[in-house]
Amino acid sequence: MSKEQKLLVITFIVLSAVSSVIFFFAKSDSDSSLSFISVWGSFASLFAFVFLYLQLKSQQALTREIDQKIIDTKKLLVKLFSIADISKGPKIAEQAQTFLRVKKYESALLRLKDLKEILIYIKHYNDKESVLDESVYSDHITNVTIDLSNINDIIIGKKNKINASKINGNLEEVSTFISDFELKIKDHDF
Amino acid sequence: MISESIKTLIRKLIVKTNSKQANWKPSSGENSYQLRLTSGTITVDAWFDQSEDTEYMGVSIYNNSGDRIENIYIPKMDEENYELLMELHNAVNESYFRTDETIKGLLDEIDNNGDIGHEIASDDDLPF
Repeated sequence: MSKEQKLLVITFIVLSAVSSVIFFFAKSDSDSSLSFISVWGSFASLFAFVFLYLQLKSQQALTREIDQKIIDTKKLLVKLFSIADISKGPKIAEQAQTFLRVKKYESALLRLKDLKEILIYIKHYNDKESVLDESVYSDHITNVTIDLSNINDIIIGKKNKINASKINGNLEEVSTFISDFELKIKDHDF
Repeated sequence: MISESIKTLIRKLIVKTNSKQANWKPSSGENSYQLRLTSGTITVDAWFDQSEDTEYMGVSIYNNSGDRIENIYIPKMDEENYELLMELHNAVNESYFRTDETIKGLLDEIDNNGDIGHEIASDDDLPF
């Protein structure tokens, strides 16, 4: 029972007791117990309606609280899944660097595509929470796209050479960027 | 084919680059450079396509979401457009390697009175 309901019940009991006492000590011959019970019954019904109204209000408040808890839990689950996906980024960057070192360009291309997906995911996350610097993000996504294009050109035979050390440098930077972002969303209530 | 707006962009880039007001950096492609602006990124590169036995010049434009919005590559046989892109690429090359400044600096040093050339530090600095 809520505080208001308790107060209502106490008020009802006290008023009933007081009115009963007043009736039994101050009644005249023309007053009958039946009329008293009839009037008391009407007031009891009124109190019952007010009690019901308070009950509905408290139920609504409880429902709102439960809804909010569900939303908070969903947010937490999304955050946990986000961290799990994003945390793969540095490992993927490392794999791409390894593939580049041994000139396995097709595998490096696939890893870079995965990295681009993670960056897009980070952007989507950031659209809701505004955690990262848009300009820095833009640098990294552009570099990954340029590197993807150049590696693809090697694979299809359009070009003969790539600047592998530049790509490795870009991968190091994007790996650091992703790790920083992961820490930000882990350590703060985003 | 290069659209007029892209040609205008390239000509303005040539002017800006020649005035040493464009901060080009090496890119990951072959003989490739990129210029990062607030509105997007431009890359320029030059390569030899062995399968077609042709030289190419290329320019690409990327937006801030990392999407490639223009990808132009011109073979040497398209003389007019190839020359335009080559002029840009040469200006970028020159700007990045500071060829002019380096040669001027060398000439100034040589023209000075006195000896030229520094002692090259030896790794063997032990007394025995």
